[in-house]
Amino acid sequence: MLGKAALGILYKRQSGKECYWEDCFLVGGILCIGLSEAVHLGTLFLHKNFSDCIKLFVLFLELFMVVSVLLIVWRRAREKAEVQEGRTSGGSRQAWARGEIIVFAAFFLLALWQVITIVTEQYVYLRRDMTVEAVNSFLTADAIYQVNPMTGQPYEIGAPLRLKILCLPTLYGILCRIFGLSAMQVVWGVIPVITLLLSYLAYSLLARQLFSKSRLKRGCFLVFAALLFWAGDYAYGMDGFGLLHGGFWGVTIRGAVLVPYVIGLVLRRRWKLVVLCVFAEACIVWTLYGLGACVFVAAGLLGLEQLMKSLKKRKGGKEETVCGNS
Amino acid sequence: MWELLKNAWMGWLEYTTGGKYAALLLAVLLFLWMRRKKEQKLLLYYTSLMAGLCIFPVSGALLMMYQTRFYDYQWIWNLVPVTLVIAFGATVFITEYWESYKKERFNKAAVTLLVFVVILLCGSAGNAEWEKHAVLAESEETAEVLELLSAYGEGEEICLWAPQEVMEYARAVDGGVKLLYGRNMWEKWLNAYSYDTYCEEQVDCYLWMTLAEENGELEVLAEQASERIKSEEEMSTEGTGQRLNGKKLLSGADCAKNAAALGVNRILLPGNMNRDALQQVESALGVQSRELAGFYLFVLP
Repeated sequence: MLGKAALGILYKRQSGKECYWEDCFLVGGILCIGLSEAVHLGTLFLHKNFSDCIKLFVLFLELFMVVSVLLIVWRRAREKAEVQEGRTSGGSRQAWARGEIIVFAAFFLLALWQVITIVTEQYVYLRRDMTVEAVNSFLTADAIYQVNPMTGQPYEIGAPLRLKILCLPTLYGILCRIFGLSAMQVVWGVIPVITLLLSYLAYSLLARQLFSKSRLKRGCFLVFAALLFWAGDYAYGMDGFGLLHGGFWGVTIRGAVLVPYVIGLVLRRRWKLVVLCVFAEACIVWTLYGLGACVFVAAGLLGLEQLMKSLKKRKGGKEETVCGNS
Repeated sequence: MWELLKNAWMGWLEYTTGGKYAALLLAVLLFLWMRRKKEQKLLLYYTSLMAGLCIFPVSGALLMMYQTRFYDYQWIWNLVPVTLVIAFGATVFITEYWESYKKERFNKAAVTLLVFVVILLCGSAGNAEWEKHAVLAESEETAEVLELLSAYGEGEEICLWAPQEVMEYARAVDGGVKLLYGRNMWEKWLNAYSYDTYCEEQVDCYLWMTLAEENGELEVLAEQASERIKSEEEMSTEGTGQRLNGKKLLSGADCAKNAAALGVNRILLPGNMNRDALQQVESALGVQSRELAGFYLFVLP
């Protein structure tokens, strides 16, 4: 709902800027990160309790949800009126061919199997990570980074600020409190599943962009993506490894959700959403003053596109000159 | 800079050791470049350029600097849409083949299967080489121990010194439990998350416990213990007293006293400890040990 409302605000009624249902979920996830970052920083720098942070998050979330519902209802009413006036026409739905059904069924089975594996086996790569300990320390001490997550003892010197400003442990802690789950259940079980699903949504959007005319190709693309994730868990740093064994890491969310989404957005020219992704990355991963992978990828794609255009123009100009002379 | 260059080169070698996705990506790029009709040119150019920059050590080192140097080499590959391009190339290849041979069902199925097998062989096929830990099952054992521990002195805050297998998951299972030292004692990389360091007594306690876990020994030489942990070679312990041939000697009794002085109120010693060692710790602490879930428990006031 949050995502849908935000998309409505960002791309009001611009022609050719239609958004898909996948966008709604992805933008909703990004907004949750943004909201948790806001309450996290407020709690951290104002030295408030973690329980205050949770209250603030829930309050803002409820407020945004109410506004979102109102916005969605208002837009629906407007769209209905437009349809009645005959200004827009409802799109006709194409029937599914047998091959398409098989391919999408294969994809759903693969994705379901991955979800089941994550939830039941929980082969989590714990080296270099202390997320669960950090979440537990927030919940027990009722404060953010007041005790050392490793030992539970108060800090003698402290933790680096670049670590303290990242919001994921706070978001996970809030989810633990809201749903009454343990830190292990949320961090090792729930969040990796959400990350995996968000990743598939990002890839689904890419499939729409890359194979806009063929549903079969879109299905094939998703099957290959799922297969690559499954077989690609062989080494630390691979997309599949992150998704299947560390879905709660900021780097996994960046690499498997934000970056593919940004590529799709650049190809679709949704610059406002690219900015949202850049901010989201800065909230979850240590970046060079906010200049993370999303900025790099977006700038790289844009720069290359401009270069290609100018080269094409120059080539066209030369050809014109040659034709003119002859 | 030299160190960073070395890291970039070693990182690339490591990246290509376990699986062959990098090779698969290059093969897919080659396939897409060779096609007459180039689709998604922008994506193709971008991926080719970025893959080249990641492979070349100098640009790889620069990209590592860009990603704040905190993260390993592997993460610069976040800038390259590896999964996206391989999936794209495979889809283009297979759907074109299907369209070309519409009526040859067997061929279509065989080629599809072949592409699947190639992907699986380039990856791990679900059998990753890294040591997998079923964290939920492993942490359950710690949870059982902590539950039994909490029965002694109900409501009292626990500060624990125990073997690594218990300490590893203790803070994940129960955030209320304090530890003499945390996982960052043996996973040095985690020290990047804190400016705090451990004092000599804490390190001694860790060294002694690590060897006691393996051998149930009474006393160990600190240097040997340290070496043992570093090199994973077998060692023998000899002699008694605080120093041996000028080297520091760690004893269970001293370590237990130091731990108590640092605020520890529950000590778990490994179940394979020999009787003499246990008696020394008991007399040093003035507390009788009791058996608990395969460990010897000392409850300190």
